[in-house]
Amino acid sequence: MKAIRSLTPKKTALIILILLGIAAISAFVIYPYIFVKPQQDLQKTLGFYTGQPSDTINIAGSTTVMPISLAIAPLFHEFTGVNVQVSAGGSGQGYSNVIDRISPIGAASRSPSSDELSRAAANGVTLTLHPIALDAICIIWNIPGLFQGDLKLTKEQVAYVYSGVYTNWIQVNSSLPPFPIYVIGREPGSGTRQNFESNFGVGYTKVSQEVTNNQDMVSSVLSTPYSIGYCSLAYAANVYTAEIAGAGGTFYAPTKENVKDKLYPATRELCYVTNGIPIAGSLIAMFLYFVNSTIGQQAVELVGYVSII
Amino acid sequence: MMESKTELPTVRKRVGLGEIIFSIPTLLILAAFFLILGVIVYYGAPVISWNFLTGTPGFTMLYGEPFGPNFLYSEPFNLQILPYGGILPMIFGTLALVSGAIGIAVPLGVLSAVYLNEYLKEGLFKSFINQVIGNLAGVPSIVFGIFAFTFFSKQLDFGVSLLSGWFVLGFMALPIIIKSTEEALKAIPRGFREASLALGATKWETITSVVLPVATPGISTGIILGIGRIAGETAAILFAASIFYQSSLYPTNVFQPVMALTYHLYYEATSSPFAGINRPYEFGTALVLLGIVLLFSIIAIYIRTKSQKKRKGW
Amino acid sequence: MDLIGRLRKVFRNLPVDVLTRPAPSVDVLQLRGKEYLRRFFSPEGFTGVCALSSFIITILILFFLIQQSLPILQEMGYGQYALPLLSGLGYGDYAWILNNGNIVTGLINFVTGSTWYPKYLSFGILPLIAGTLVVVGGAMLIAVPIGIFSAIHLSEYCPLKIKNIIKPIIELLAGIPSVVYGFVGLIFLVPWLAGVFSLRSGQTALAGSIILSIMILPTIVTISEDAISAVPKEYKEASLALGATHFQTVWKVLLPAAISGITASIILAVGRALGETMAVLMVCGGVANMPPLSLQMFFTSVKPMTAAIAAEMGETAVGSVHYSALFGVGLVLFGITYLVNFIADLINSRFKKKFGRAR
Repeated sequence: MKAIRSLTPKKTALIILILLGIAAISAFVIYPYIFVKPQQDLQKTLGFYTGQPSDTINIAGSTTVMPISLAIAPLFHEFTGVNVQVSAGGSGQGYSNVIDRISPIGAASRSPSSDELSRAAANGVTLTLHPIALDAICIIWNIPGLFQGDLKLTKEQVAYVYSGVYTNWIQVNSSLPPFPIYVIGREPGSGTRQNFESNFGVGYTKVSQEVTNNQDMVSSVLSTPYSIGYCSLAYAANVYTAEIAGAGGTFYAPTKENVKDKLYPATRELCYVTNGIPIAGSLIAMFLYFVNSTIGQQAVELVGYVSII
Repeated sequence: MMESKTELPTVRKRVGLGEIIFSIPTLLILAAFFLILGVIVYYGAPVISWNFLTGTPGFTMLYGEPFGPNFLYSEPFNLQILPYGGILPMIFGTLALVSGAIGIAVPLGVLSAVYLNEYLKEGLFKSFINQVIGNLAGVPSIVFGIFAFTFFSKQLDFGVSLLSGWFVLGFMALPIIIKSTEEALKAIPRGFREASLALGATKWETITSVVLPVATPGISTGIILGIGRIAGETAAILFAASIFYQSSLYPTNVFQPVMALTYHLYYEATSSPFAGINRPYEFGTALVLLGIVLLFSIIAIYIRTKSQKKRKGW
Repeated sequence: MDLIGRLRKVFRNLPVDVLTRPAPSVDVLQLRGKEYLRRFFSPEGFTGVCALSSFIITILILFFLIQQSLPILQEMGYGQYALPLLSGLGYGDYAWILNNGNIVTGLINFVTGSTWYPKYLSFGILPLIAGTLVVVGGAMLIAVPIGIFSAIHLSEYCPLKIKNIIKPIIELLAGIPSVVYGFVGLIFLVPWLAGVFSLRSGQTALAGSIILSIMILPTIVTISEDAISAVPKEYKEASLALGATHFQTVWKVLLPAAISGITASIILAVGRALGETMAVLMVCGGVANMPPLSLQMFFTSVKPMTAAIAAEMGETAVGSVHYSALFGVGLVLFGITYLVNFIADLINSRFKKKFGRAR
């Protein structure tokens, strides 16, 4: 009782510090025994994998591919106990990691630039792209009063909008309301932006706003009337997409069937990048095999992209 | 009843114009605080549950068992995308980062403050070091972030790791701890040190046996303020220590990245692949983060007010 | 007496033999060098090395910032931009230093270049600086009046009991992480602004200014309130004795007397606002265009320097020119905050001379 009655600030401080220290130490000591799942029996599940469960795979790269990596990581972990680390950084980051030999695998949503190819050659790295999913660049829009299917554009019209030639919707199509277009683009390092600009033939862009990822793009378009933007197939579920004219002049909507049959004119392959062909039996080979198998592609479809098998 | 501050005999004052005009800004500030707090509690509280706090973020879940050596060709699997899991790995990551950072910053900071206050004479060098510490406190956190990336991750080759996070967050907490310890040491009357030296103790014995124990409340205030600051730090760990998801959920050694609450909130709010349905969970994450940081701030304020009240009795 | 009782309690921890130790011997013939060595290998030297750690950390940060930004500064150091500037100022005779790709002209070109378009390798950070200035300036315009008036209220008009509740609450406001501010701003403030001002998108400099002002208010309020309370009572009593009202006393006597402390608080707040990253990253829109020089600047999307680094660093290849440019931005930021800190220290020391204590 006497001790509690004389609870000086010094004692209070010491007690709190000691409690903090005990909590920290016990957290570090106890967690391996509580939270780490027991390892799967490797021989039973993946008979020809020759690595150790303590290996890690670090997949950095495109934010477009990230949902696929995030979906596959826990599945792969459940089968092999391998730690799969997923981070974003853009396709440039994915290529850099492989070129600088920081990681054996990266994620990319565009093909390598000439700069990256020369750096790879200088480093003795062969960039090998392994396609894992089919994606499409969807042109998303928000015009009050119009609904899905009402907006059909050609690639040329999109290019004019993004380079500032068309500034009003009525210039795009005389049946559209006469309001200024609010153009939303992506940040400079984005693989999606690079793909969009090369696919639709856009050079110097004039945008009203830049966002840093697909999700931001979708929410910005949704909240801004008379706006236009572009995003990846997996994110376009809740927003109106424009139908783009294909080679023969027919307008195709970016649906999964159109993308699978390559009818939609702005499709691209999402890839994992490695240094050369992975050695059979190595962890990376196992991982790519897993991604391109039924279960991996089922995850791809669940995320919203189109399976490649 | 308002008492005149200058201790003149109590004069009954009407509520003057000055009071009304000047109280509006204070009310505005209080309103901002309670708005922000209220909004996060209102939207975040429904999400807080035992599963949320102790679960793990799962994106896909396989129901049923894989079967046979040819399982990769069998179909279909019972594969579903979970709406969300929980944030336990993030809470652990934040606490792990903070513990290590404090472990680096406290010895360094307390000893530095001891030297600055006890040993160093007033002069050009002391004001220079004080300026340096003040400058370090003001360096933008993103500059710390890119410094940590280029020095710890690239130059020392730690990679994106818990260790880099410890160092950079420790460096950020260092000025706070130095300042608080210095103030605590300055507040101790000179008589303590002089009496101890007169009794024959060496200077170092004085410091360890007399000065530091008395200064403990002030030092703890500083430590807890430092914890509050670095627990909420995002930009510093953005490139050097944090990762959005790793399937083993916890770093098995210090050279692995961690999943941190702040980075998770930032990434979920701006670029999560599954946002829209995840908004309530973002509020939950924000509420947990806010709760942790405010808890530390409240503890620090409590210790400080108690010790101030006590000091008034000297 | 109570003091002796406390001293007794405190000195309980001293080693047992303090009273019986022999007196230390004094060697009159100690060599200079040995004395410094002895002091170095004592607790004094050990803690002294620790104290140097802050200095070493600052030097490390500066070194790596400069090392990584050298490529961009050298690349931009070809003097075709600075030459007209120098000639206009009358220093055309010194134009010979501009013929090499030196770093100083590189820095000038870097800072005064008005296009930030990394895709086409255009790295002028004037739009970023302008973005930072607009957001921070707007935040100061909002926060300084509110902060100073609130400080006056707390120190002069507020009853003591209420003040002891309000001050901790305001300090709690300072403790909220910046991501939480950015998150709340993104979800609530941005759509609200778009609705109120009929904008396309609420992600503007104004949103950044409002959020930033809430973040720096605690700094201004606490330090200004300290400054106003620190004004000696005699000033106030003399003014009241001469017949001034409370309001007049506050306005004409207390505020001018506390002006150094208030200025220090404003400058510290500016320093904090300049370094703020996450909140402005999430609400400011992120378009690196020069904001127009009118009231419209608050309603355009801007990209402050800190937001530029945070948004673009993740995607640049290590060692590329873009990477180096971002480190250049970091270097400029470091320099600006160092300058702000230096000015704050200057004002603090002036205040010390005036009142004999800090603030």
